[in-house]
Amino acid sequence: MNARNMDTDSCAAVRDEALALLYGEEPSELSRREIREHLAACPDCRTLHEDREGVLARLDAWEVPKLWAEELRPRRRSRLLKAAAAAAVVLVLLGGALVVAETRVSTSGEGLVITFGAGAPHKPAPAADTISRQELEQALNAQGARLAMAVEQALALQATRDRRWQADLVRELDARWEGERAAMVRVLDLLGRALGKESQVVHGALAQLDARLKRIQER
Amino acid sequence: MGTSDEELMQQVVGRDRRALEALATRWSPRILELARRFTGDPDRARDIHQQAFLRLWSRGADFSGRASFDTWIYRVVLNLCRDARRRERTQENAVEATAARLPQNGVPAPDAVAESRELSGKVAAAVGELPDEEREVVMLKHYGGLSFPETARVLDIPVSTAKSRMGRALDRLKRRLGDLA
Repeated sequence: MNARNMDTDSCAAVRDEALALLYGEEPSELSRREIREHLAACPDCRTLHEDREGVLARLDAWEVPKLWAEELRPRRRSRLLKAAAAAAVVLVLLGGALVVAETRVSTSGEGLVITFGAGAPHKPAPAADTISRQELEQALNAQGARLAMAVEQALALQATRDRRWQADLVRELDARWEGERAAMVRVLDLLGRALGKESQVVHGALAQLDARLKRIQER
Repeated sequence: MGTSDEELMQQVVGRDRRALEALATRWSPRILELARRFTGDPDRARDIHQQAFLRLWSRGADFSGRASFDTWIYRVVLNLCRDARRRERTQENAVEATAARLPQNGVPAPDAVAESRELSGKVAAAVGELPDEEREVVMLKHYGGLSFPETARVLDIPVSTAKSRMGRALDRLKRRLGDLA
């Protein structure tokens, strides 16, 4: 592109391509040199480019509190504990003893829980998930039917914990919706009071809200 | 060299929860931050974060491996944020419609929302007022730290469109933030 031959199309192309430069990326349609030459020769594009650069700097002023840093820290500790507990369980399982199933159950029952967000629900961490099928088969062959039964029981318990975790999640979501509903009720109640009279509209809105929450919960 | 996200994802598909945990450790901060910016609400952000990993676990098989994991997870988060925003608007509309039906006399003017005078609050508000398609580009590109090609892949648009949307967003933000020091 000839920088001296500026027209609307070339200006538009340069303006968007120049954004890549602001982020230190390689432009895809034009070369860096072409862009720089155009900006040097075209005051309108240069002004716009500088304005955009200024806006980008301002965007960085938007800070989001990094709450998760605190939230994740204690969980990182618990993850280490969980990993250690899970590793121990795997060793015992490969060692092959009936105690295996009991160990897995008791360990996870006491809180082998993965948490991803603050107060978020939570997955029981199953030790057996990382055991390959082949390893499991070897262990089963070695230990015979008793161990097979124990493993089956353990897996069944794992499935139960999965269901329990899902139920916990549903309960938490329900509770959150309840919280939102309570907040809405308070707002509508305040509106009703401000009017100084009972408002049928308020009751109608509450009924609609209940119905909507019910539909959401049923989903 | 550690296990790649894509490899971990394959393990997640095989129901390996440690892989899931490893992905969560890597991705939680980025997902939480993005969701927080999108929704402006830490609780909603946590919901989205939680749902993202729930989806990753329950529908991980959807991850074909053709796209990078980055693109896939950002797309999941973006869709969850869009859903949250839609729900939020529906709820706002319901409340506004109810309020509009109430007699206006005697109702005290609602106290203006306590807007932060901080620059951070103003920038957040200005970004929040952008049209959705521009806001999404700003979120992914500027705050998500994706490149323009990555942003385009997440949004399933051409790279040139991602750039032009970013340009329009910056021009709009310039007008809104112009008076700020």
